[in-house]
This record gives sequence, C-alpha cells and structure tokens, in this order.
Amino acid sequence: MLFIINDNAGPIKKAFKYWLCVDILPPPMNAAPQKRPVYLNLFQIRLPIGGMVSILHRVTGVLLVLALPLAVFLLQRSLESAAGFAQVSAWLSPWPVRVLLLLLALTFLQHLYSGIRHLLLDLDIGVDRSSSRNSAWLTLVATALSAVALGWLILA
Amino acid sequence: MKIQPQYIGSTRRGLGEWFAQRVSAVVAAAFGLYFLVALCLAPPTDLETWRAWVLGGGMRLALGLFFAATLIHAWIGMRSVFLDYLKPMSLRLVVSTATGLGLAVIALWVAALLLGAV
Repeated sequence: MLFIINDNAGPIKKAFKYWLCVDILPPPMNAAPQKRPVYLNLFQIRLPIGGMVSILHRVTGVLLVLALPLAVFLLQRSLESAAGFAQVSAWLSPWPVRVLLLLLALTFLQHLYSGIRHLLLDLDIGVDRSSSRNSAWLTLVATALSAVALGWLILA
Repeated sequence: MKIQPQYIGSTRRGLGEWFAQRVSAVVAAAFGLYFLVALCLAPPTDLETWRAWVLGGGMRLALGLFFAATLIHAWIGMRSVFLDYLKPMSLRLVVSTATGLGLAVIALWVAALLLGAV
C-alpha cells in the first residue's frame, strides 16, 4: 500500500478518495480478506425490461454528454453573427443532418422518459413488479411516439 | 464476520451526489423539454429574433441554470458509469480526470458565452 486514507485524512487525500471512489487501507489485522461474489456477465444475465431501460438510460446519457460540446459550439456560432447564423442554418438543413438531429432529440427524450420513471421509483411510485414492468415499456412506447411526432416536425 | 464500514468502498457516501443528481435532473428536464418544443414548433428564422429569444434576460438566466444543472448531472452520471465499468484504478483516474476537465472547459465556455465575452 502506498499510503493510508482514513476518515481523518487531509483534504488532498480526501479528494483522491472521492475521485477514485476507493478506500486505500491496509487490510485489518483480524479480518479475513473479503471475497464477495461478483457475477456481472451481461451476456449470461437475462435482464428484465426494467434493467434494459436502465442500461438504455445510461447509454443515452453518455451519448448526450458527448453531444454537449457540439451543441454549445452550434449555439455560440449561431449567436455570434449573421454569417454564423447562416452557416449553422446551412449545416443543419440537409436531410441526413436532420436525421442526426432527430436521433439526438430522441436520445434526449428517451433519457428524459426513463429518468422520470426512475424519479417516480425513488418516490416509491410504481415499485411493484407489474407496474415497474409496465412503466419500463411505457418509456419505450413514449420514445417511439415521440419519434413519429418529431420525425414529422423535423423532417417534413 | 465483522465488516469494517470503511472497507466496503463507497458505502455511507454518495448521498449528496444522489440528491444533486435528482435536483439537477428536474431542472435540466424542465428547461430541456421547453427548449426542444419551442425550437421544433417555431424554428428561428433570422439572427435578430434568435438573439432576442436566447439572450433575453430571463432566458439567459434559464440557460445558465440549465447548463449548470446539466454539467453537474453529467459529471455525477459519468462518474457512476466509470465507477461501475472502469476497474483498473489508473484508467479510472485518467478517464475521470479527463472528463472532469472537459466538463469544466464546457462550463467556462458557456459562462463566457452567456456573459457576452465570446
């Protein structure tokens, strides 16, 4: 062990502990080394629909973070001058770009719908098995309906 | 077997992050939905109306709050993903530091944009 971080550690060690989310401690003298079972092979676990939607929530979240700098760039360019505004309009008008915009909007909406579901679950609403399965399916149905509505608005 | 609390990893921590994740979610969801619907129903046609809408007093504040909430939400979310899937500590350190720096750059960029410096 390089160094010991405990609850009395100074701010730098505390920051390190937060950053990596680990406790670096020497093993307790009187405790056997812990071996807790880990079984997380996603190809062998048959996830219920709630689990699928939860993973989808993560995937769309990561995609949205990746899109964030692009969105700020477009916002800045479109606001800075008439030429910038015209340039962004020109970039966003071809239909393949429109399809990408539609996919980005749907990524946001999927994350929003499954996020609302997670917030309601936090409030103990719809926790039992059948209603949580129904609400998981509902987020997917809502995303599909949004795809139709937004596709009509963005592509037409 | 007696388990020492500080030996379990992140147990007893993270309640602040958990709560911040939910509050920022509500802020970002409300504004994000409003912005998306407004953009779809009335796409901006020229610079003047676009600037008047986006940089109007209340909207500037709302955009600032939205980006603040989104960046906090993004940091906590990405960190959760890294903690779950990046097991080698060195990789976790590098990737989470790069992500933190990237989000900080976006925060400064948005602040400069909304305060009129860019």
